Amino acid sequence: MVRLGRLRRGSAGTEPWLMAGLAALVGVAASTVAVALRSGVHLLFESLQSVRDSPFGIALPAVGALLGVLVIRVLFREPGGHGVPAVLEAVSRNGGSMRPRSMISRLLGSLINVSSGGSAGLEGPIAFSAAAVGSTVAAGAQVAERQRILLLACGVAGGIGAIFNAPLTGVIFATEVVLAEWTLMAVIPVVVAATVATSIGRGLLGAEGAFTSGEFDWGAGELALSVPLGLLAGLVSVGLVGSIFQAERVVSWLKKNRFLRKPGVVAAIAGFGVGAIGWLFPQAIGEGYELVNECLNDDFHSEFFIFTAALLLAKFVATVLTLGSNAPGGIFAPSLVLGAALGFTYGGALNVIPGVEVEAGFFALLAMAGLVAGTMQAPFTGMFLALETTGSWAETLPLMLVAVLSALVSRTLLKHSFYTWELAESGRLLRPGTDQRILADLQAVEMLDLESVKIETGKTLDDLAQMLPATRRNHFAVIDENGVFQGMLDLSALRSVIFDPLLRKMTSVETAMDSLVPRIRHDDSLLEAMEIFEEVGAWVLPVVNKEGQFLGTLSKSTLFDRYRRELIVQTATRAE
Amino acid sequence: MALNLDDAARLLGVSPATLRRWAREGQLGVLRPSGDYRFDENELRSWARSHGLRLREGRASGKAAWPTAGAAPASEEQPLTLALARGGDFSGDSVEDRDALLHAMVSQVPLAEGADRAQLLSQLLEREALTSTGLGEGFAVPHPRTPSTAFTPEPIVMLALPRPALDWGSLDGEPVHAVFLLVNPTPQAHLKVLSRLAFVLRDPGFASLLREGASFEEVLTAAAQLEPRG
Repeated sequence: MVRLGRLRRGSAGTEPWLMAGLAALVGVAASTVAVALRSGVHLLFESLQSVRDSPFGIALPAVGALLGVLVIRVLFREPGGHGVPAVLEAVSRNGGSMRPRSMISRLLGSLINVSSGGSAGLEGPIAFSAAAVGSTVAAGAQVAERQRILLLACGVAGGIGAIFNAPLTGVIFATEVVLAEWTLMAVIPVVVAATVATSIGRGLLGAEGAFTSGEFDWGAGELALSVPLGLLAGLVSVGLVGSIFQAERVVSWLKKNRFLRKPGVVAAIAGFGVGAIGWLFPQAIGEGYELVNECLNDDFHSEFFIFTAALLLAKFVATVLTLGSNAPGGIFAPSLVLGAALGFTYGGALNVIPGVEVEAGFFALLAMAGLVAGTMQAPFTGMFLALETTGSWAETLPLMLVAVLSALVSRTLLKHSFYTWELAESGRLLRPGTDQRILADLQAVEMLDLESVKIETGKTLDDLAQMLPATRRNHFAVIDENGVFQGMLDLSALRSVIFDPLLRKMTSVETAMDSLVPRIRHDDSLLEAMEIFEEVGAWVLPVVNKEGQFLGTLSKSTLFDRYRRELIVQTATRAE
Repeated sequence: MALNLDDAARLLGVSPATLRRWAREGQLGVLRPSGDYRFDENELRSWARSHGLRLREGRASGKAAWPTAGAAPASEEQPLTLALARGGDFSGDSVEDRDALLHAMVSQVPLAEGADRAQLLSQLLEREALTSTGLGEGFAVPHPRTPSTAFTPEPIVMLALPRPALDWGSLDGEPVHAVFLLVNPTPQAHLKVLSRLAFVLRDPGFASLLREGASFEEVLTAAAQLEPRG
């Protein structure tokens, strides 16, 4: 560990190798988490089958959602939610730090929720747990913040790679969604982690993809028909994300009630809704992978598209209920299922048109990528998730088309994705290395001019003139006997009197100072300080503490100089 | 409304060269891309808003100016003469000492509606207690410790020529025969008026007018002739 500690000082030659080694370690740990979750869900789902078939089955999702939320909120005392936004916040605000207990909290919670029928996926919890694994390994190795964030992303890549048997998807998700950065130094450890984790996952869980799809015959006609499907997938994605956040708004309104505010109550009530849907459409609840396979393999007769349309609606409502009520779970699986149902419905409906004959399963595959790309605004993740989980590499071209069109529609209609919405709305989404992030990191107190000159009330400009030879400053703060800031003296504004010995003796500093000058608070960020400078067009402003005491001045030129230096430091390792 | 390059650059707070580069790089929309640039103002505004750029609305570039603490209005070419005309001269019975004179002047000086005259007087006395405002050679410039728009929106100078001359505690020990009461809205205005007053007082002709107890009209005319414009 002592040797690894050197990473903090960044020995350029060995750093990538050490990071690759740590990434492999994270990969091993992340795959363990993924295997535990996957087999746990499988076992629990199977053993609950008898309950599901009994009259109590309708209440099962409610019990699961309640227990799932209780595990996370009460047992582990962590905030609820989907998991991925928490990972993004750890990256953008907390330097990649996550608590070790986060490794299992969401794992258990979502295991219970999804196994009992909650309409949610496992990528949220696995991303969260595996990210905590990466962060914990980083803490043990005592690496610096930047490397910690990278190892956290390694965990995410490994976890997703192992659980879906989709290493590329893991890599893409970690870079596209979590890091939002595509540099060689970032990609190498992420790939190492995904490779290691997925190989272990394949060894323990089997080498099959999550889905099996048939072979499709497609040509220019099908390619042309994918264009409207891409747009449609985008609209459904927007509808889904919008409805989930609308539901969350309703939930937070409901939580004004004292009883409903207790953890898990709302999720349980929504769980009854899910149970009712599951009673009508058993395929619509839980992860719902069966439905995907049936769509992909044209198990339904193509005329069944009316039925899949109803399933689409049922799954949509079940997902909004589950995720909107903050029951633990992710949006990968629901997106894939909704996509499959949408694509199949689309293909089936096309067959009704005389002279048109298409394979509905082909469109089901495309729409799966489309829905993931649209809800997450991450086209690459959508493409590779659909490709790797189905093994349909021959359909890459139409798949790309649908994924990108869907992301385009989603981006046009929604400012943020499912993952970033909440963070971005509250200003907590700050990607590393971006302008906003740097501006928010630096505080006014770090940029103080400590040699700034102050003068007490009651003195005259003559006293000030005596101080001038000893300083190069042009702005002087006037303070009272308690050090509280009173106003600012600007030498250039004093020019008319400061050279006249009689007049400057005649003028006390309070008479000449500008007492209306805006003050910057010591804990203001650079961003806030810049806004104040912009607003008043000043060059030098005073910085005060909570009590209003003067701490020093801040000049616009220092601010830009420090900003530039911070920019160099924060982006340096990225440029390699 | 179409803006030319210079106006658009001023609105965005960047140099015309920067704006030209942005237009060339396709960062923002241009009405007439070749030759002289023209920008649609509404489009430019919404572009700036979407990029988080703060617009410089009608502000002279680079000049420090925050609300109400600015310099004296630029239209006043002769701030002292104007302030003196506003303040007028003190007309009252002869008084015994400095404080009595200040008291009487404060009750006459034309202040803003609802201004606190008692507050002004106490500030004047407080200021005299600090150090005398006697300039020497028989002149004094009493003023409150902090200029404030609560007293007056515009600079005011009121003249009093006390006879007999009063003891003001001046550095040179001379009794004061010409008192200029300065009441100003801002520090900048105060410094401006004070420095102009010092300038005209240095003129021997002006000084003798005051010593001889000339009429206010004569003093005002002399000040207008002496005070530089601009």
